[in-house]
Amino acid sequence: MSLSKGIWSTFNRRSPSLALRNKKLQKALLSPNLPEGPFSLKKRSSKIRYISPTGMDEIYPLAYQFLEKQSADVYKKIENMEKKCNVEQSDELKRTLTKLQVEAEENNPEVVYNAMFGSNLVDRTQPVYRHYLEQKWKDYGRMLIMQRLESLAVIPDTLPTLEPQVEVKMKFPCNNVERWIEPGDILSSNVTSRPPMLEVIEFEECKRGLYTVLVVDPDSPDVENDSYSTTLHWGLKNVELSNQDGIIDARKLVKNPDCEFASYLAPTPEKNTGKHRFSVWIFRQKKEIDGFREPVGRERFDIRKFTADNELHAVGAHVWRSIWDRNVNNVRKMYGMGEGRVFAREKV
Amino acid sequence: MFSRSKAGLNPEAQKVVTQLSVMSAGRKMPKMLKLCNEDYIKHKTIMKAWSVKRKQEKEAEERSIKKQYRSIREAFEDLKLASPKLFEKANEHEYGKRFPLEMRIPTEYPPRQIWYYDYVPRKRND
Repeated sequence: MSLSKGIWSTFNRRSPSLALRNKKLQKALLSPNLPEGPFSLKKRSSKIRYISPTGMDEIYPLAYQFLEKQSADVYKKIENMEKKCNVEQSDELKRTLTKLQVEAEENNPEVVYNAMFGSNLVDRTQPVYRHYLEQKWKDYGRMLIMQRLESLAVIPDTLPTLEPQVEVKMKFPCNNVERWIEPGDILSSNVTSRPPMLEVIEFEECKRGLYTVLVVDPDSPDVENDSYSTTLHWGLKNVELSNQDGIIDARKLVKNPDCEFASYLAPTPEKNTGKHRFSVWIFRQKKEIDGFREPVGRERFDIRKFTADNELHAVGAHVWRSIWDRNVNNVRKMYGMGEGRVFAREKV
Repeated sequence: MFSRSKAGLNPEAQKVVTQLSVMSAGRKMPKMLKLCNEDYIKHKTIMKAWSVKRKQEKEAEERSIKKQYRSIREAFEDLKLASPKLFEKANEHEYGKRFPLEMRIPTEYPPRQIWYYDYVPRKRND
């Protein structure tokens, strides 16, 4: 027996990803009580011990049908809107439509379940899932990255400021470190010896967007001026990303070798130069970049001039830190860089 | 070497300690509901439906009040056009006449105490 008899059980207009994939879970959510016991509890003992709150089986069907009716009304509104005008024409209409699409599905228990417990596996082409992902990111990830960028002074040292619009996740998959790096982590030179994998999560609709990625180190010692300079460690342009596929990894770069305009240079901080910040910047491109006016050099890289010249708009960032360790020399050999300098305080 | 501080209490002091600990905030807090994921989503759905319903009711109420107000204004405008004399009379300021403070503002339900039988109005000074 299923509660749903209306819009939330028809899939001719709605995407099948709005339903729960697991049939047992779906059955549990679409019945007034739990016919097969609490499926999400794993232990047998806790399954036996579990008792649903009293009265929930009477109220839940009413609540479900009430919300389903609201959703049907919103779908009618969407239909009217699509009939009346061509939505693709203006951004304003598009935004209104997306808002309505979110409104129609955000209370659907199956969608809420997917958004809460399915985390990263949700279908990002659906506006409602993007809405939930954005909510989650705004609650934690966005605040965290801004705090790290500001307290590590990445923000005025590389680019003036950032208004984050996309979530950027990073990991170093070639080195058995299969975890997402938290912004600001200090990583060993072994971990960072191969290029990272990036995931860019767009919260707006994006069928085919072009992105530029820069990894810069603003802490390279500049002995002549008794100061620091910025070094470019990795540069990618025209990387094609969409809502479904936001991953930048080796496989994608092998397929499109033109993307990489500056190959990955592993971070190898020289001894006694302190912690180096490596900031990853993600830019949205307005148009395809064919070539650069000036040849891009690694040393003394001016990131602000670069972004201004190519009309790049920063939408996301990430940062990690590296420090000299005993493995640095091996990595330098791997990249053919020769021995690193050792800095020491001058005795006066 | 170290002894527990509570162990050496005399029975009377122990009694006070026990009574105080029974009254403490931690004991009064209801037990947290431990729901499985499905029931948690169901709970959220119920709460959402209730809030949506309440919101709709509130909005309908507000709409009707606004409508009433608008019709009052329109009636006044009509009166102003039909008979300026009557309009002026209706809007005349009555000096010294105040809205009685004892009167309740209009609500949907009657007050707990309907009538003050032993009510004595306040004496006026003048």
